[in-house]
Amino acid sequence: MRLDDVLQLAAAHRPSTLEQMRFRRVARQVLADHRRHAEPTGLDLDLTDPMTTPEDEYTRIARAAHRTGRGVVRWDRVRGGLTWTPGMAAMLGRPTTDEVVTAATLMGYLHADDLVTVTAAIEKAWALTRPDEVTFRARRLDGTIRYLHALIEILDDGIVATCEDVTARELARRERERQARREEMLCAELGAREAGTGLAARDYLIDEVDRARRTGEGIVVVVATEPKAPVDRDELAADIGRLLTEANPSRAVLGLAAPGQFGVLLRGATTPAEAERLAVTAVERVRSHLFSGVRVNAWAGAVRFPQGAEASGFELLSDAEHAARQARRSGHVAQIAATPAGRAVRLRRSRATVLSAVANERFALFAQPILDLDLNRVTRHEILLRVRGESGDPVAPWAFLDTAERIGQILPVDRWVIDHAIKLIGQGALDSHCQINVSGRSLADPGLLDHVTRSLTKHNVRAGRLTFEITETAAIENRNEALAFATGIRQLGAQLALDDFGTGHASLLHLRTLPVDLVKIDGRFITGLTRTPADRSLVERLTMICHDLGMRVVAECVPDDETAALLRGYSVDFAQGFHIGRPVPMADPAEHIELDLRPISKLG
Amino acid sequence: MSHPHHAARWDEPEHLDDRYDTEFNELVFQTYAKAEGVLRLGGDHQDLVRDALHEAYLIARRKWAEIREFDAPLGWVIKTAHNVLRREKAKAGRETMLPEELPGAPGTPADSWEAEQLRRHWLGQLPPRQARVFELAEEGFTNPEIGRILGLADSSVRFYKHAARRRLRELAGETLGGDADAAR
Repeated sequence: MRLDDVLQLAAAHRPSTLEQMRFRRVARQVLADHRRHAEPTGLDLDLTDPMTTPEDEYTRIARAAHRTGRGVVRWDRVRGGLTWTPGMAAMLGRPTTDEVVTAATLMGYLHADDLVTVTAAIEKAWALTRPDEVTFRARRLDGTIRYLHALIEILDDGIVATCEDVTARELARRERERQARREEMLCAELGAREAGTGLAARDYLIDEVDRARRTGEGIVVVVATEPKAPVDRDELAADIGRLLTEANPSRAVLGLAAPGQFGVLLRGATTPAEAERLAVTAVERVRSHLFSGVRVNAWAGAVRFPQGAEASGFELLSDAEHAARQARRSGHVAQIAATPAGRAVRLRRSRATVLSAVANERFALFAQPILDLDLNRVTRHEILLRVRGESGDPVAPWAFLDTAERIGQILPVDRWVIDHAIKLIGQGALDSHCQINVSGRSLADPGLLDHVTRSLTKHNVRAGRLTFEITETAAIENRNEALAFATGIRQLGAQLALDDFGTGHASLLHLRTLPVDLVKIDGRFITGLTRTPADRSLVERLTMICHDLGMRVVAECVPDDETAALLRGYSVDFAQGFHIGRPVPMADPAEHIELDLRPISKLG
Repeated sequence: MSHPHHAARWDEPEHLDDRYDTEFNELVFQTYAKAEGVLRLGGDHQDLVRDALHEAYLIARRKWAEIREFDAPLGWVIKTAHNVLRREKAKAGRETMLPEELPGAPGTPADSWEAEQLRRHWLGQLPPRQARVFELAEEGFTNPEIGRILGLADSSVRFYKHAARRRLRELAGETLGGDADAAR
């Protein structure tokens, strides 16, 4: 069957009885209106028969335009001049009765940016003797801009353009496009979830506890866990998270409070006995479960809080963490605090925890490779802190650092890291460029720059080998002091980086005011890059901005080769992440620990 | 049925009133489906199309003494309703387009009704001017007539007709498969 067959078959179609009834009804309604003397609304009567009236092309076009609120411009090839209709002049805000118009006048109304488009459309229509359409902006006499749509038609003796004001329609179309785009670009709140475990993040948990204590009473339980054999910690955390979720009522909020530590928030009244039963049940579930063949030990601590508790979300979580630590040390399954601790007591306790970690060197330094995407070669390492937990295993320090920052004890930690990193570099542990973290809070300390300088001299390390990464989980406390450190450290020859850029307190303003050499884009923009258009747009443009401002760019948490290829396409300078290389312990070179520099040829 | 008080107003001899009504009824019955078919091709809301047609027919009845003399009043009805529709759209100042809600393309038609549905479906995918020119040509109007009905230049009518046919062949090829026109 072909087109013509379908058309022929369709031509045999006759209106159904139902449709015929509809036509009769229309006729009745029109006749009724006719008898009621209903006036047709304003269309001046045009009684020319299109079948017989020998109307020339221009006349018919101009007439139709006039009847439908459009304006017409005509170029007459024979007479060589331009004319416009009053409707056209009025559309441009210039009431006139003069039919003749100059090309210069017309061009003057045309928005400069649309000049080329309009000219091209006219030339093409003329060259091909076929109609064309173009939407463009016109600047009216009063200076306002309108969107006009023109149908360009070719006559035997010239060109005619029928124009219609489509501003409202154009704006509506743009708004619809914008909304569709926003819809496509809008991402679910992924920031609240840990990338590796899928659990709610510590910040989210703290916020939820804060919200709960304002509106009612409740309980915060922390379950501390420790696998009895080496396992993938992310996978284990996800498994334990699932197990605890099943055990708790659906209204409970579960989150990862620290590596291996799970926080559960339960709203509503509980007696101390109920609280204890909850905590013990959670521990027993974990202890009795086999996680991919591995047993996991567990302890729990809990704190009950009344409605309107003075203690903040962070403080309540800290109390529960403390209780869990106490349970472990005393050999109990769980320990319950019936009420939140006093503020002074808690602060003293937290300080002691942080300072004892520093004093007892419960830290280890790891180095993670950073790949130069241009050279396809690891040229840098970030020095990372690991904190040895209760069991002595080094774990990621984010919860520890969060606590240290919140209670104002991050400086001693930062100093420890700076001293030991520079010492190891001086001993030849790494021969690449090294990046060392410094908290935004520590920058407020006027002695930090001297401290760095002394350490460099002592261990005979060239400042040019170092970049200091300002972590911005906490706001920079003293801008003047921070600027003094930043300026001073660069005078020494070291470089400055902004860590976790795009999240937290890292503001665009810093790019303007801090002498930053390197920007590290937060992993939350990178991990979903291949499937998130919004991330692609943000990363690409952010990289352009940084390059414009004379800064280089690192992408954190690069998960795969595909992402690395995208990043290379955006001219991102460096890539970092488990896929590029995991952090490995930094050690005295005498111990001959090989850095894990996995083959990267396939990235090319 | 007699309405003597109308006669003076419309300059219509009283004795013609009933006769004109009858003729007018026949006009609507014979032309409505075709006029509506052409106007609906703009993708406008059907209420808007219905109102435009109502207005055109109201004028037709009012001036029936003249319009009954026309060669084919359908051309005039379409021209007038088309202008009313465009004027109303310009006045509304916003988009009156329906959201794209094309039902799935029907397959090879088995009867005239299905063929008509398929034809409408194809025409709905063409730019309105192309579709209207094509539809009027199918209705038997000549190029100059189409130009006067739709207020288009002759070269535009020729181009739209050609473009419409080319696109319809493509669509037919997609719907009807390999042996259709597109393969030729």
